Amino acid sequence: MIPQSLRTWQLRRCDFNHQWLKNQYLSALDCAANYLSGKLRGEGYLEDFFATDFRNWESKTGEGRRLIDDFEIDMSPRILFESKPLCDWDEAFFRAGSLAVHELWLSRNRVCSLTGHARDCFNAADDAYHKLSQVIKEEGASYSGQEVRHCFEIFRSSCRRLSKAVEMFPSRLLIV
Amino acid sequence: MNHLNQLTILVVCSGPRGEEIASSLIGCDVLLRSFCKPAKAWKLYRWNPDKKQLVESAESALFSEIDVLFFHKSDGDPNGIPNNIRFAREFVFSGAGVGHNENPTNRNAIPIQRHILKGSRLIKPRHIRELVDFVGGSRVAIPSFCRPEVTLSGLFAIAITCQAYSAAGVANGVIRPGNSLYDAMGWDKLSVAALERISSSFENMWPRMQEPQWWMNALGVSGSEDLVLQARFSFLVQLAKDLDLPSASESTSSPIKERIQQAESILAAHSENAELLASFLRFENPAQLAPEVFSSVSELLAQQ
Repeated sequence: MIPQSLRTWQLRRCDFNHQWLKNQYLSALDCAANYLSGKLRGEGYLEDFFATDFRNWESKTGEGRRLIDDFEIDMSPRILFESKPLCDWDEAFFRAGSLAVHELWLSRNRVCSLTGHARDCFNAADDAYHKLSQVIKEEGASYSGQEVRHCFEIFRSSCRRLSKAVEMFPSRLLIV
Repeated sequence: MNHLNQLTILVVCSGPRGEEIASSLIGCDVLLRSFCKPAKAWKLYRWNPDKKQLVESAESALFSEIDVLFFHKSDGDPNGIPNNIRFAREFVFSGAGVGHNENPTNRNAIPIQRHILKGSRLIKPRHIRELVDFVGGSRVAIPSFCRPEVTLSGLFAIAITCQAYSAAGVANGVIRPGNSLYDAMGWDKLSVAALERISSSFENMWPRMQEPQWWMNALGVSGSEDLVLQARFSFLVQLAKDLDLPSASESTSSPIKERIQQAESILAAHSENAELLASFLRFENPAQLAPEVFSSVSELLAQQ
């Protein structure tokens, strides 16, 4: 059997990355991009978008950061030591064994590099979000300026990179 | 925390598990409240770690705020929880484990789902740190002793045991670059700092890991001769399940040795890798077989 935390992390990733970021948020950004570029026209669309859907980023940042932070805890084979027969090992073997298995997993799968890259992508997207918010605030509700379109594209592409970075985390327990 | 910065804990239980839990909470200030049938009254005891026994104590030893309460779910034990004390965290336990909706009181207690077998320790030394962190707020997840005990896939258990064995070999300088275990497991990818951390934790363990008994204990195949046979059979059945093979008969009517042979045959018919694992589980020469066993497990896991 597989410990619960492995399944939970994968479900959390699916909720954040697949269900929300890709299917909802990036879709909404793609649609807004069409309005910003003038391919689509609709009165009040961008005003509504920037007042509502766009702001959802803020409510999801905690979830996204926790997901990345928890990968090393929840997906490490070290958690197998909570299950029988490994949980019954003598204290010294338990400590040494779980440490070795964790260190090996970190190194073999370049976990620090994966989580570091995902954090960088997250920070870049968050910075781009705040920059865009600032520009919108300064430019008012016309959304026609070049600066808005430029910052919007940076934010949209950084969200895409974040999604790809989260996808790169392994989807199964890697122990060999 | 008390003045010695120890976690203060009250255990309310009138059966033998109360003392088992109290004695396992190493480094904590532990009180036990249990119902004394002859006196028809609740009595309070403090665990004395030096004498390793409970010593009767006055009720005034109870503080108005206590860090942790452990109470037994039934036999009237919830009635022994003092009303005038505030607990930072509460846990409810029972020998059979407590389900999520089984808390008989209105208390906001975390159910300990794990079965507590007679004579077994619910709380092991490593759990104390989890408990301290949980009460202090630096740990969000409930302590792992609350979760039901899960039995791992046999393939995972063997792979992890081989990794621990090879780690000890690397730490002792016996397993080096060029050795099949060293290369297959990727020890060359570890930083010097990581290798140093591992080396210090495995000090003096390598000789014990050469003995079949270490492997048997590591894989839960230990005890009296009968128990070993039964555990070996269970492990073989688990491996067959991991590989989606038909299980050997679990009926107790045929002798255990016959059932083991049947389970070994099922694995042997699957593949050479599975056959090797069946033979490894006879524990005749486990340490020597480790490189081949790890390679077989890796291939079997990769096929899943």
